[in-house]
Amino acid sequence: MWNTSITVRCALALTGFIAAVFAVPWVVLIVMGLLALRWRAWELLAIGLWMDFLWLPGTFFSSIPLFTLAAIALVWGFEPLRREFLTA
Amino acid sequence: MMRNSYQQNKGRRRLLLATVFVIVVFVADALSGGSARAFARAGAANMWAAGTSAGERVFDSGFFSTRRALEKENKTLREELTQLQTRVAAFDILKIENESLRLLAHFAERERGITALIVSSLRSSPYGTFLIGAGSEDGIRAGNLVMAGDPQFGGFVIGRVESTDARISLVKAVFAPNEAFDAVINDISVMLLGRGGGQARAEAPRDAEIKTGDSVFSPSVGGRAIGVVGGVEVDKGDASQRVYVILPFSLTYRFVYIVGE
Repeated sequence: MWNTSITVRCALALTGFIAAVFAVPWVVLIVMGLLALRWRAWELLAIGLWMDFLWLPGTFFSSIPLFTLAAIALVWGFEPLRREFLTA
Repeated sequence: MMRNSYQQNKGRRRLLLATVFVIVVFVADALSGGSARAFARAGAANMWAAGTSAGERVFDSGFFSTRRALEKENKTLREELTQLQTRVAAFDILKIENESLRLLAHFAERERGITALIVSSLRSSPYGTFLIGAGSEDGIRAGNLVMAGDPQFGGFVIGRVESTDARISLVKAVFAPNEAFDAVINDISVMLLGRGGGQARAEAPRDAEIKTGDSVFSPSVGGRAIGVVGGVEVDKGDASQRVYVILPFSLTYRFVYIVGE
């Protein structure tokens, strides 16, 4: 069922994808943080991957994919907090 | 309660699957030589083109006319200032280059390259990279130098091509954040540390004669200019002085010049 929570989640995810192209990296990081705080947001991982696909220099692991790693850290790091305080 | 626990486990399982999927995609892309990256970059370049074109249309529609007029005047003045600063710095570079036989020889075989359009934002990348609209089909190779400024005077190297796709290349800026780069200022070797946004910092011996406006060259890019000294700071009791290096023009250039190394 569509509700406000899903609307906000979709809006944040869309903002993240667009901000990766147009805005400074901090905006993407903040959006990722907000998503990870409230939801088990798989799209957060996609945003991290999208960011690294766009901007990561080098080939075959010559650079560290910071945003993909940050996405994984955020999404799993906030899991205990979400489990404790949120039901979603 | 049980239902809630079931939902939580289901959510976690889904997340675990997504995590594994992302890792698999990343590895598959790396093994395939970056085919997914090429696809993503082409999509981003199109998004950027559509976004900038839409933005220009909104501004040109007159909706923000008063503000727009002021911004236009401001921009014109800034461009004039930039042009003058570039020419002053470039003249300085010419003088120094003329004194050096090696650089004279270098001038004789003056670089041939191609002009390319910047097709992405210059500030969105956390890695100090940006995209240009020319790729391997246009003869661009990884390691090519990317120049901007005033081509009449030689310009400044602003980056190096990191990877190329058919029509798009990824460029890493010389002053990418936390990137170390060797440079020479007034015959003094220094190690520059990039700070992003066309700025870098270096430590030089306290008694070195370095002043604002001095040109900065780098042996890593064939002795070409990479910036000018934007400021020098010396603290009491320090054995060294902090040198701030900048590009003498705004990094809002839409075109760059690509040359072989």
